[in-house]
Amino acid sequence: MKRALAFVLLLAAADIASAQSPTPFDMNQERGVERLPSAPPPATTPGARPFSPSPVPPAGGDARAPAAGQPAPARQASTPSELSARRYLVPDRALRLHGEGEQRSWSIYLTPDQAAAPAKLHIGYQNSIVVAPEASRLAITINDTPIHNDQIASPEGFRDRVIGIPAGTLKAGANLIRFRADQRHRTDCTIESTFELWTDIDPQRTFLTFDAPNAGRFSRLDDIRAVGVDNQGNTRFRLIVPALDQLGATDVLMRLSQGLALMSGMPNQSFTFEKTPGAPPQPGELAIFVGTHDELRPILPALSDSNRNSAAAGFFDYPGTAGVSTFVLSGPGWPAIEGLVNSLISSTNGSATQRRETLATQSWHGIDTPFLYSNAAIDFTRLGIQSQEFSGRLFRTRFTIGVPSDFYANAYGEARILLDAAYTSEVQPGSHIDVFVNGNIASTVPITSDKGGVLRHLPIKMTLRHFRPGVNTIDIEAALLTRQDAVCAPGTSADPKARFALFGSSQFHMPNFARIAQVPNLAATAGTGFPYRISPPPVSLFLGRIDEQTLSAAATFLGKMAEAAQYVIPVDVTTSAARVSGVNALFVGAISEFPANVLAQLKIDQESRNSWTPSGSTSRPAGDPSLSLQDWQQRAGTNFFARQFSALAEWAKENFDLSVAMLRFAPATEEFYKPPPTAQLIIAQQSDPTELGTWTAVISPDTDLLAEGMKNFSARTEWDKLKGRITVYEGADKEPSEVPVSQFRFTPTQPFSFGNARLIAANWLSDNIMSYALLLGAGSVLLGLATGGLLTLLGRDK
Amino acid sequence: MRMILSAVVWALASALIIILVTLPINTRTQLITSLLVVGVMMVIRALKAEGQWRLVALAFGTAMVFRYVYWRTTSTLPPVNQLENFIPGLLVYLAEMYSVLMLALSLFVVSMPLPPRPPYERRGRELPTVDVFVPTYNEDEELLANTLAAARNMDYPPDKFTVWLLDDGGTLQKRTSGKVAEAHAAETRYRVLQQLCDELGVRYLTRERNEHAKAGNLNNGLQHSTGALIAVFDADHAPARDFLLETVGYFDEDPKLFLVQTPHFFLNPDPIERNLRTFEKMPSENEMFYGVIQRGLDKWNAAFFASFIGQRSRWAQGMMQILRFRFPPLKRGLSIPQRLCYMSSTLFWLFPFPRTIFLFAPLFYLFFDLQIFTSSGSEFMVYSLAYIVVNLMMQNYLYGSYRWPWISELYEYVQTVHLLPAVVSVILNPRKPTFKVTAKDESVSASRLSEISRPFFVIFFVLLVAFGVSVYRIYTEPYKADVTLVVGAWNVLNIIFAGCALGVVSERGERQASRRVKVSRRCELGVDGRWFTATIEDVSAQGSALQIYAEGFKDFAVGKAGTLRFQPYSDMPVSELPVEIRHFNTVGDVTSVGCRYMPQKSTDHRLIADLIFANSTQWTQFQISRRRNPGLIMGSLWFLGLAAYQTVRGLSYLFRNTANDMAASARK
Repeated sequence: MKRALAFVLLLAAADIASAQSPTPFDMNQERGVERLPSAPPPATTPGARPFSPSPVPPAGGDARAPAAGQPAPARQASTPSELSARRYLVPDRALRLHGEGEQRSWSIYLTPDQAAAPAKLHIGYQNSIVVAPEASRLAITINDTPIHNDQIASPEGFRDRVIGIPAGTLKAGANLIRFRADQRHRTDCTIESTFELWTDIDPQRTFLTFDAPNAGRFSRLDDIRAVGVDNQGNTRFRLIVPALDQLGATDVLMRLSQGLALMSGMPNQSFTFEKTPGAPPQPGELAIFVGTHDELRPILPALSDSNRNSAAAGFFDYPGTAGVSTFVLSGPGWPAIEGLVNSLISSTNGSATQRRETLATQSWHGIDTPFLYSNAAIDFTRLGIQSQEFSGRLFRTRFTIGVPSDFYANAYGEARILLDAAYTSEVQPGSHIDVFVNGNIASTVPITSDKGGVLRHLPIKMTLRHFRPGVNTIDIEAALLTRQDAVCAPGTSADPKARFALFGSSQFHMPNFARIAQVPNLAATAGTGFPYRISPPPVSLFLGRIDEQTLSAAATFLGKMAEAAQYVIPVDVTTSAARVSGVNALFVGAISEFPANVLAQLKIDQESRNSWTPSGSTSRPAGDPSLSLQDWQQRAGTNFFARQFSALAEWAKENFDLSVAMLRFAPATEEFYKPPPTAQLIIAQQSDPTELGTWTAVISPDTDLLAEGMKNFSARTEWDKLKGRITVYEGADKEPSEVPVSQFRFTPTQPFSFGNARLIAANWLSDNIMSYALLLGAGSVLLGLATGGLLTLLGRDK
Repeated sequence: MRMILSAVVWALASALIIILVTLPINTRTQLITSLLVVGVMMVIRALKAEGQWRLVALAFGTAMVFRYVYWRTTSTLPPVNQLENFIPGLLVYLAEMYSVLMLALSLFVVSMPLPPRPPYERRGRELPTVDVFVPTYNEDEELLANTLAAARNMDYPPDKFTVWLLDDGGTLQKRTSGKVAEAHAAETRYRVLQQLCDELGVRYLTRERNEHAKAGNLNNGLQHSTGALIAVFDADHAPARDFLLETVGYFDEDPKLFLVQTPHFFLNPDPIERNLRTFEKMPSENEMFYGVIQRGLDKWNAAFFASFIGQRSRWAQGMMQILRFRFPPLKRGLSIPQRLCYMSSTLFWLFPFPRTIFLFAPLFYLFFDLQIFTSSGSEFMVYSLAYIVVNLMMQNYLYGSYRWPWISELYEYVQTVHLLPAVVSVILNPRKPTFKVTAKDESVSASRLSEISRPFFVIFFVLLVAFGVSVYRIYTEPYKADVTLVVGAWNVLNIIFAGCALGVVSERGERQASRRVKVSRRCELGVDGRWFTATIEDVSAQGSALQIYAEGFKDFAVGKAGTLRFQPYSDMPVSELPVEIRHFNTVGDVTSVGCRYMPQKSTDHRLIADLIFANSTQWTQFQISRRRNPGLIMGSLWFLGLAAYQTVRGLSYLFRNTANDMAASARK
């Protein structure tokens, strides 16, 4: 035990803890030494593209695969070792570079072996037919070293390029990848036409290959961070635990999954549990064997006997493969393994009370996101936006801002952008600068001068309405109209003369905002792991049953939460709902396994236990759900007054975002929710019955859908849509929908201060409009009467 | 104890309001709250609730105004790094804050005006002796005759009061002036006035040298006075008969009292009343002062002596001098309410500055595209519109029947054009302000443009051009139409005032120079040696209307001389006053006759004074008859109609004037 601890600490401590310093767990001898190095893929010179078939596309030798390229044959054609030497790059299911200029950057983690190996970059892309090749370029940099900068000219199908990466470009550890497309329209000069400009980078065809036998091997604990992504941007940890249905093991496994999630920090990571090893790991997958020596020995013959007496962690080759590392944690018994896991975690785990200055977004955004707790001004340079000129029509840039889980300023708050920008006299009035928060328009500033202008710290007020705890994406767009564009002579769209500039000295200014946590608020859970991050340990984790699927879903959910919280949440697994009162708890299971009282507390209709079936509903309820009274009101609404009222309501909605439902004194009561039959997964949150703890539940119609749904939902883009009191996931092709919070309880997170109380009141009263009017009215009556009383006593009375 | 409790409750209520008002709530909450507050104020108003409810309505308004101030301060100022926007933006802001401060001060002043002081009742006590001073410098004989006659006619034991004419136009210095013409005029004046005084039983007093102007003149009078009390009337101020009886009693009540002032009433309409023809139906400007403000000031023991009303330029300059030399808030010996009250009275005269800024602010945007007010159209609507409406409602609440909506603004605008140079001059050079003595009895007989009309027309046309620009820009720059609409609306409001002011400077030819007052008084009219019983129906400073029981007498003719015989109220026997018939109309036995006074001797002036100033009640009746509150909506509509009519009238005078000028130059 003691030795194991020492080893783990050594592993975690430094980069030098690699092969040079042999330890009892140095797995060098276990590596498949006799295995041949994987055949290097035939090099493809960019210029000779059409004639030199790359190894990636399927048979046929044509580099231009059909637009709907099928990755599966490629994978089958490759040997595992070929695959293992392949590092897919794109951390998303798709990567589309849109508009006249879009840049995406993220970082990938490489092992020292990978960094040192000769490497090639494979890219496959296709662009829209309207992209003018002579004026459009795709540029790729790695660690700010230009790797590729060429015309965008593949409208008919995917084009593959293979580019050698200069030695010394790649580093062990984080490497910053940047893709940038500058695109111009062939014929049109309108702003709308820029929406037709795109270049798709195919995640399946875009990867690094390393010409080194050990490139796929891990030797140090840190190498786990090099797990990477698969050809859809996903990362998967496969825990192979022969004894996973032991109740005692589950706590440890949940901790381990969170530790792994924290370590890798990948944007789309999920966990699966297996009792016996299945297919060899693919890129973006890491297999982890966990068990006692006796449990693992049958499936992992290479396990040495030294593990029989002491717990140890180390890397082995996956059984039946060579060059594909797998992580093994074993020991004489589960308590020893638990100790091993705890020491493993302690190396990466943050502290629950420590104030975080940034949120980890490197793996998909290139830089970490500043975490703002109060009044702060941040230069654009620090947000990753450098000074830049722009010659097109629609300028776009984006940055991210993190706010804490107790952010409570959606109703009243306003942040500001102090914009440093300039535009030439070609830019016509009618142009405008728009700001979007998480995809919602937050502000529009018209450009009103036709003489050009230099904007120095121009304040742009933007509503905080669409801010949510955790990472927020803010897009700035400048739509620039010019007379030349209106005429649109040939070549206008490609004119490289800059007409707009944005400067890195611009600032984002966040005011002091109200801080008090609200329960339920799934966005806070998704964003920063609230309230589990700060909850007194351990958190009760109720599992519907202990099987592979349920554990997978629970581990994936916990892993996402741990990543958001940057903290391993200690859990206490239970299958008895009776124990989980008065504390923060998580529930994972099929709906039939949920106790009635838990569903009632989560305000989910009991009836859904029967009606919500995995196949989706065949017995659709009678009647057309889209038929509403309102439709008929509109159809029959010929009454003059009715029309005036609806016109007024529309005007109020448009100008003030005001509807009759908002004219309320207090939040509306909530109704019991019934999931739609198409839902694969719902995540629900409420206070527990004692109003002290928070209950969050991941529910599916059955356990298969639970694991599958949670795996799909773990993608960053889906997870970020977690909000409200219930989020409903209906599969990858549908946006997750939200049941908004109306009733909630406050949980103070800050010591009382007048300033904060004032802002909290401002937000609550902005939400409950009539209460404000009532309070102001009552205050005025009181003041009037008090003044009257005072005046009869003051001054002369006759 | 009750005091402390009330103060604590008040402080808590104020704290609650301040906390609520300074919450950064969102626009839609503000929208709903403004609508509700305006609604509540309207209901309270409609119910005609007074007393405590009046204060509640004012508290509602105050809360809304505070919200506007909070929003205006925190959200609308242009950024400091855009100086071209920031400086004008700050000026507009300061002008608005001035208005808010004035509103706050006037709220304080007239929060609970005292009821008018009850008239003093004679309690059979010994009346004090009174010396009545009428200081004069250059007023003509007829005016002085009227004033002195009215003073002599006052209802008071004749042995207890003496009327003095303190003449500074006939001093020895003037009579022996080196300039022969002036010396001659002074000599004549000296003689004529002495004779007038003799005939009226008034003592004439003049002095050696014109030292210390009016103050010196009064001091000279004091040296000769023996009365226990002194009453001072300006040469153009005639007292009502009951003046002394109504006032001297207060000196009995309070031994420390040193001054009593009574309201004035103007027989002649001011230029606005004359040219807009509002004298008969709308309360005069000074009524607000005496009717509400002085009563409010009285509550705080801060009523003040105002004798220059009507001579605004001088008054404004005087107040600015007080402000500069004796800043009231820091003056020792005053209570805090008194300081606030005096501050209100003196700061009021800064109005030409904000008025000017409000007038020209929209032009910054319309002509120069400066963004002096950073706000979206909807925010502006929710905050500013609510503020404007609430402000008007509060004004209406405070001054309701004394001051109709928008009239103060019109007065301020008209005066600003004249006062601004004067106020600037006194601020720059407080010790030597340049007074322009205003003509006192300006009777106009022909329709024409006033001499001072030029700047009004210039401003009007500039604003009109700005209006054109705003319309043009709404169509050519649709992307900022909301802001242009708001600024354009503001400019239209200015055009309404400027247009209405065109009517003010377009002088009507008036048939009757001064107003008639209804009376009912028995008399006899003698024509051709026959005497008919008659009733005096109304009187004015020039003549009377009579109803004569003519018994078939047909020999009336325009221009025929007659004699009016009646019993004066003052200490005179039944007397006869020569008149001339101006028009007549016979219906059956009754003939209506309009006649003009033809005073021949000094005592005739006393008779005329007796008719006009018989008692103060008749004037009060007249004032009350025009004191009615049209309400905000009706008042605004009325003003809009008035403004439209006056704009057209002003422009037609301009065209006629220009046409005449051109014709005249063509003839040359």
